[in-house]
Amino acid sequence: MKVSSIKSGLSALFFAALLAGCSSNPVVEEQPTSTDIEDTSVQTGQVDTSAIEDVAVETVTADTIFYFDFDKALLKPESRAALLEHSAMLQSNPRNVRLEGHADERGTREYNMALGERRAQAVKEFLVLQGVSPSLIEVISYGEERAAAYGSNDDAWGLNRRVELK
Amino acid sequence: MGNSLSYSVAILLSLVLHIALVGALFIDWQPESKRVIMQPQYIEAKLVELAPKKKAPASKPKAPPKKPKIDLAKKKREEKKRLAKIAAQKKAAEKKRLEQERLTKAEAERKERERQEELRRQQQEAERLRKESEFAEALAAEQALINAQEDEQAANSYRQLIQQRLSENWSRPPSARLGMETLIRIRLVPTGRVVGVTVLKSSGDSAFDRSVEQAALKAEQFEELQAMDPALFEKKFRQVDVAFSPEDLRL
Amino acid sequence: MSQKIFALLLLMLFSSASYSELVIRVTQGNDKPTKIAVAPIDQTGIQTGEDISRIVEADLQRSGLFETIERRDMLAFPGRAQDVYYRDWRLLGTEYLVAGQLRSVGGGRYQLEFSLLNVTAQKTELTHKVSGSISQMRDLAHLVSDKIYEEITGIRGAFSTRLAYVTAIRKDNKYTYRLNVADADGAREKLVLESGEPIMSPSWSGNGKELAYVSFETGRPAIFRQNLVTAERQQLTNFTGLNGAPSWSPDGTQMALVLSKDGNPEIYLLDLQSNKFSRLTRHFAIDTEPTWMPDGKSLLFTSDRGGTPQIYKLNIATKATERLTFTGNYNARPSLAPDGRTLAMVHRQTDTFHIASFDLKTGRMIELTETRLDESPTVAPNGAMLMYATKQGDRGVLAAVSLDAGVRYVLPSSIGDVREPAWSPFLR
Repeated sequence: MKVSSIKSGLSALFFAALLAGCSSNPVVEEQPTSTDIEDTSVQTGQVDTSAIEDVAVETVTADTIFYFDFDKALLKPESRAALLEHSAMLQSNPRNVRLEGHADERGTREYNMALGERRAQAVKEFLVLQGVSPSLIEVISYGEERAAAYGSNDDAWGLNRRVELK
Repeated sequence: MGNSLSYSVAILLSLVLHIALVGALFIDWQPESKRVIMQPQYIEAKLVELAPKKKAPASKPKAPPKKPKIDLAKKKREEKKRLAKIAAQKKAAEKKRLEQERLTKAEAERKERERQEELRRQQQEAERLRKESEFAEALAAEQALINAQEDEQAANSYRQLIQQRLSENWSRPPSARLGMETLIRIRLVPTGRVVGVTVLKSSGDSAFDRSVEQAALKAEQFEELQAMDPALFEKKFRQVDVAFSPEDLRL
Repeated sequence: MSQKIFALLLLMLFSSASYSELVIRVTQGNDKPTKIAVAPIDQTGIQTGEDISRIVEADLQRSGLFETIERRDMLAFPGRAQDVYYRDWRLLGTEYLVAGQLRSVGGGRYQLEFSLLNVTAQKTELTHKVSGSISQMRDLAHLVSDKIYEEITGIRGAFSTRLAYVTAIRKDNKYTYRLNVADADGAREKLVLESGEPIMSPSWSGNGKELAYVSFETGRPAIFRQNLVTAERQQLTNFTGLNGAPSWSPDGTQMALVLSKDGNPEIYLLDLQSNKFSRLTRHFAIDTEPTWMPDGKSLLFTSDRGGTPQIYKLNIATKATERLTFTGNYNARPSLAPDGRTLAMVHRQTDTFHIASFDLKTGRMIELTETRLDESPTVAPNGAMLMYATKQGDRGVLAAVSLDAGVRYVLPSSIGDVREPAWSPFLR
């Protein structure tokens, strides 16, 4: 009987040691530290709009706005028809043309910038194919930044997916 | 954080100690327990041989005293009668003796039989007593087992209560992740009040560990434990170990 | 019999933990916000113009992890740890208490000494001092919030950070665009730039001192950098076509950006010292919206080379690209959390645009928002929260959501449509 009690004693000791070792660390009292605040005020900058020119818009009978499907840069048949007229006029009376591409508000802004540009490029390519000199045509995208119609519905969105010929 | 050298020394020492103790536990300390056979109580019976009764000394036919020859035939007849009588007597005595012997033998045998039977009876009695005590022991053991099971069942229902209360009070920090685990030891008093919480095993995330400690401290008191059998409380609920490991998190 | 007992004991010894008795397992919690009381700061008569404890309350409340105790329920307003009677606070169910005292230390400077007390455990968790001028009371308050948040959650607080964002104000079909910087709680809005032409894609430098952005002021999109303190500006690009999506490298020496001068939108690197451009992508598809991995060796970007916009990874040294997202038909505008593993992005599964978090390791995509038309996710530098732009009615507003989608709130909006939030790095 004596040896088994030794064994009990040992295991009890063992467990006691185990638990003593596992007790949580004592909290260390930190010296209260001090933090100082930096001055981080913000100043306003100035824009330089000297480079903007006013583009004179000629009145034409054909449509100057061409519409597209969501996430697409394919010209619709009615767009082509109107653009044929424009290309004829531009070849007879060359002038600088600005194609402004747009997208509706859905999706991300920079991606929509690229989409707007793609659409404007599609219009440019068509005109160039018809014989208009590429040097006359400037392509610029506004992405979703310059909406024509406001509202979060299909109608408004449809009106915003466009290229404007100016 | 701490002195990494003292840490490694401490770890080494602790490791050696643990191995030593574990080794000690592995060694079979206990000698082969001898089966102690309990000798049944019985009376030492000693066979007593009944000494046969001393035979009546056969009367030696004495030499007849010298007598005048009187009636020889009568004398012869008388002698004959007398001899016959003696023979008869002898025979009878012999018979008696044999009978006596037989009786004695029978008696002895009977006594022997009785003794054997007594012995057997006593052995059987001892056997019966032993069986009875064994049975009583087994019964007691079974009862103890049933008691232990009942205790365990009762304990389990209290454990479930504690688990639920802790779960209700456990608010996990944003750094909590599936797979983290903290083990704490909660010290209770019979009123069910939490009087101490110690982290036995950290999850490695201090905010997680703290949330576990807070849960135990917020639970504050398990009043239901007051209804527990005090012996059961002492045995299983003075200290309660709880492991917290979330399984319901998204991350 | 005893042999068996000891064998069992040994078995328990060698299992993962040593238990003294049967262990109870708790596997579920109740993630109620932690109740915290922020006692009004003992200002010892000093007029501050700002209610420091209210700012701290709002910060902690906004994090979604705390529920603040109403001031009218407080039995006392202790200024120091030694003035606290834990019992009063336990009765309210408070778990933590913040108490503080403000003192003048001369030279126009004030010191705020505050303590965080654990009411449940009845002990002081920390005491700290912060100091500043009278105009910096908000900054002191946010510092207090940071310290408390960090002590309790183990995560660095992001209450002292800022937000850059664009506001568009419409008047008679004409827009005015403003680039603003405000505190993370929307207070102290400061004007960085105002223009009649669009401003887009603000991006913070690693030291929090500059912003890069796209401005249409020249008639075409161009990338600028501007010092926030001096207002000094510098035009970085002037190419035809797109000039967009600027993103500062972690070490501040390079800018990733998008140019379409070579025919279609591609990603380029601009070395800010040498002013040299190097081209990183060569594909006829749209490649845009680059963002840096923390090690500065890779970029994540949006590309529709697979047919629809998805997130790709680009190794800067080898120019090799690898597609990362395969769930949903639109994934764009990646924004990386500081753990380098969680990605926030604009995601579309069916027909609504949500913000989703994507685990780079497991490929798991979780939708975080229930608002529609979500865009421009930006992750807080501590990874706890992300801010994005969405619509409330027809107004553009900023909203915040935690990366496990547990917490949500909408930022109080100034006038106009607010969009394109960019969360600053840690500023202290």
